[in-house]
Amino acid sequence: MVAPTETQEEIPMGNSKEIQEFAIGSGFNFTGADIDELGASEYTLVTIALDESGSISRFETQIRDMLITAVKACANSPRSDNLLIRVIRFGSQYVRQNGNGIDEIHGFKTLAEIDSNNYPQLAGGGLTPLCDAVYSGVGAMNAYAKQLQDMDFDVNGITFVVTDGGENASTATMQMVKDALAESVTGEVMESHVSVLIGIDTGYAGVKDKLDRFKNEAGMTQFIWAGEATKGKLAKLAAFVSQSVSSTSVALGTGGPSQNISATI
Amino acid sequence: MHVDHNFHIGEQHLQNGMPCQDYALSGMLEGNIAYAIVSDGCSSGGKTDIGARLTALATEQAIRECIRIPHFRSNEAYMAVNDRRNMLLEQFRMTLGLEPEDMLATCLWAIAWGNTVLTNVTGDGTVVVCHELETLTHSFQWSDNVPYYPAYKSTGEDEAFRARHANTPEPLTYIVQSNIPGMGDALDGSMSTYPADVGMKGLWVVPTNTAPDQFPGRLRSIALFSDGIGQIDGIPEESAVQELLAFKSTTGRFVTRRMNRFLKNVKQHGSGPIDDIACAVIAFDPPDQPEGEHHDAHNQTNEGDA
Repeated sequence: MVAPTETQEEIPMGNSKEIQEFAIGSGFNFTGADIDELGASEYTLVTIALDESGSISRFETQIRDMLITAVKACANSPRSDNLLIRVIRFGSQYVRQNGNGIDEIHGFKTLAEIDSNNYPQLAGGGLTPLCDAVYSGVGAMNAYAKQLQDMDFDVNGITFVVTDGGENASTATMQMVKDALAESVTGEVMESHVSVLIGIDTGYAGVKDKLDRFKNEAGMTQFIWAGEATKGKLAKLAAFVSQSVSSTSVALGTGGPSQNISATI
Repeated sequence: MHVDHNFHIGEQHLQNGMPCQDYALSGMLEGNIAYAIVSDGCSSGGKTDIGARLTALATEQAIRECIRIPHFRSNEAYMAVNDRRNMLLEQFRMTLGLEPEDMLATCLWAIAWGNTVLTNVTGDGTVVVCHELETLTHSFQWSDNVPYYPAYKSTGEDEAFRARHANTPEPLTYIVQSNIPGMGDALDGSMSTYPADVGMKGLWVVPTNTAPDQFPGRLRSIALFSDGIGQIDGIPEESAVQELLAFKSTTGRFVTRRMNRFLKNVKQHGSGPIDDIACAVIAFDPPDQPEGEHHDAHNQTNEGDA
């Protein structure tokens, strides 16, 4: 059982209402909009986790642009008012800061409260704590969804983890990742959850196969190889993210995950 | 104050490919006046899904107009809401070329401002007055399940309605039930019956103020339900009321959230609502909230008079 730990001051991104801080466990925390202030009857939770390890160094601007485009495009969703979006970045450079490799750019917030133009510049450095990224992404979603469910909100979710490399620096274990993913699809904490691992090619051989194995071992829903981290490919990736969010949101209330999430980009 | 409403199709209409004939509205008006409205279309009428919506919309417009009447806090002004609603309803019918039987729908409405709350029922349905320490359920039922509809007045059907109940001197039954056990562990309650003409004017449920520290405590909410609240598969009306008013918060679409969760739960054990169900709620802030309104009340009903 996860409980709010404290109320904190406004976090840097956007014009936030009250934000609550929550603990997932094992030193992982997250923030989210104060549930007492949420007014809709149902929400789709969205988490986007971005790799900020050293190997993305040449692609930082393009990846940030992809993030901004994807989040802005979520406004086109017919249920854009019912989205709560969390964005994190991961790299071993954050271990000293948090005890794990995660930096939360912003916690679960409505689109109206997100100013994506103010997303920070990425600065590639460090190793790839992929387990930390998935554990933080899915663990936070489980915890927040449970709190929403307890307050009568209907909830589903989708998690995107964008990376160019395999696990090599996490605090979280693979078992923690597996457990979080398994819990997310029991139907007990949210109606449905889709987890998508997205690989981008920044020039390192063997990454595609490594990520495919990671997806299978962890029990993620889907692995998509986006190909080279070119501007055109990343634009397609942004469109994929926003379209998947839209179809997940529309599927809320049907009892299952969206059947319309593309298998390729 | 917080307001929200929700309506949901019942199993019978769903299975028969018919529309939901219940409708509900709620909102806030100038002067911090809250309103809630529920309307239930007659199953054996015409296009009463439209009638129920028009009845609710006509009532909303009537309330909006009548609160501008100088000295609105008078019995005449309260009655003016029903009169204006009936006029608007007939205007809507004529404009849209609808038949009188399309307009057959009940009407329950409530308004609240300052320390005043009043509720009017024309037809059948349930008004729930929820205090901190006691919940009172006011149910209105007509014999043979033939309620009075506001549209009868403007379409000249009043005499036919009286004739329909000619053999029952007091066809309107009004039951008040507390959720607190009284003598012999039976729930406290009372039952009265009224002549048709009393019910045709619309009956009032009017909470009045008492000291905050006296029983039954602060007024938490006023809820209006269509008669579908008593027709949920496997769930007694008292339980349905308690569950539907167990709000986890009163922000935004709080009635919708509770209704959705309630229906999801009851459908796991049965068919859910047999009839359509509609609900509209005015919820009052606790005293420690700055914008709060303080309401502490006993409840009384009078005959066509506030």
